Amino acid sequence: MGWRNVIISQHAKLSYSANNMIVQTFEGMHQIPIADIYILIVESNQAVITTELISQLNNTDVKIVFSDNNHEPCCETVNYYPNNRSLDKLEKQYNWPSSRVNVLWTKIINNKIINQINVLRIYNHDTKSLENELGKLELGDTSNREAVVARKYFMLLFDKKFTRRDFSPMNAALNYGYSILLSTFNRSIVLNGYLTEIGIHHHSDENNFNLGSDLMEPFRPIVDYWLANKNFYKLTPDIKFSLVELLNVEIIYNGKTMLLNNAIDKYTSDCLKYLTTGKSIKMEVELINEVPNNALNSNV
Amino acid sequence: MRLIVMFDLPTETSKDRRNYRNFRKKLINEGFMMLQYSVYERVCVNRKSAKFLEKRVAAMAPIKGLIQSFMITEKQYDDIHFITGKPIDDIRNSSERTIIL
Repeated sequence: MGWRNVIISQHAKLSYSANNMIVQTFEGMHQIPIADIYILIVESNQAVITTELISQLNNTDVKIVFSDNNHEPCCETVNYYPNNRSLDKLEKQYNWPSSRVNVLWTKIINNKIINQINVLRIYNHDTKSLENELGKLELGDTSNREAVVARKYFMLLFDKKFTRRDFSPMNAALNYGYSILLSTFNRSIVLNGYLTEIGIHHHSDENNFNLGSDLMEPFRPIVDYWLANKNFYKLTPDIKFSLVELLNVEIIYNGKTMLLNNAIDKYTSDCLKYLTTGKSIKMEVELINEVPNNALNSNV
Repeated sequence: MRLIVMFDLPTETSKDRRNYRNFRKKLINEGFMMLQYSVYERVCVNRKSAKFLEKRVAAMAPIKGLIQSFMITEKQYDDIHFITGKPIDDIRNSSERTIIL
């Protein structure tokens, strides 16, 4: 199980040797044991990566995310053949009973809205209207409270004129944070042997990651929470790096304090287990609004 | 957690030297980094994974010689005094969870 997020932000050559990833930069050579890596983000467009390294990283279920000219994540590697994928599993995934799908989706949206309310509370906004909407949540969210709440939420959290559709730096940052989250969810889904394409609510032909987009919903407010009190005119590298570092933030999952990336793995496998077996689950994601006493991100 | 492995291996015969080379190579393959000659360390996420790694090292150890290992916490490792010399600047020597290169 990896625990290191590696970001390549400069001219570099990435290769493989003796179970290590070798990174050659202007500064010199770096070696990182592959077993330690959780996600590799190649930010730079001046990097070379060897095929051997790609296949070795894939063997240990490391996600590789590549970026485009604007340094936005644009593609990622997806493992074709995880060890535990079987026809039986895929058939079950294809035929997940709609009752379970609806129950899980309701739980996910419920959790998402609760977290959004908590983020607003942390920043001392009035959350009455959102709580009202939460009370109107129906099974399977047929009345689409999610969208109604999201609209109100963003206006409260940022400002009245804020929309998610323009190209403001804040939106770019939100998108960046979300796409890192999505990648880790995709990794987790494949790790569990399921297909990322078949979701429970998102149902788009163009989206290869429907299931990831579904499961990540309760975690989005974590990104919002971190960005809401930041002021910037441009999405600079340091903001991006901090967004990747968010994967090591402590949150509470089912009453237990754990690191976000561990919580994501646990939560994903809980949700998938429920969809396949119907064993009732608890999946509560909560934010922690305090600086933990081991705020050193290097706490191993 | 850090797992430290220290060894003294015989180098009398060519077989001995071969055993030593193989053992050292395997340590490096496991992600160990040399702190000093025949003192190697590796970062582990927690005690459980350090114990697991210790077992793996034990499985590849040669029969002759002396190999010792111990675990220390990150705090204790950080408190190492450098009477002469400086800490090694290497990613394998850091426990940062996010690495930017």
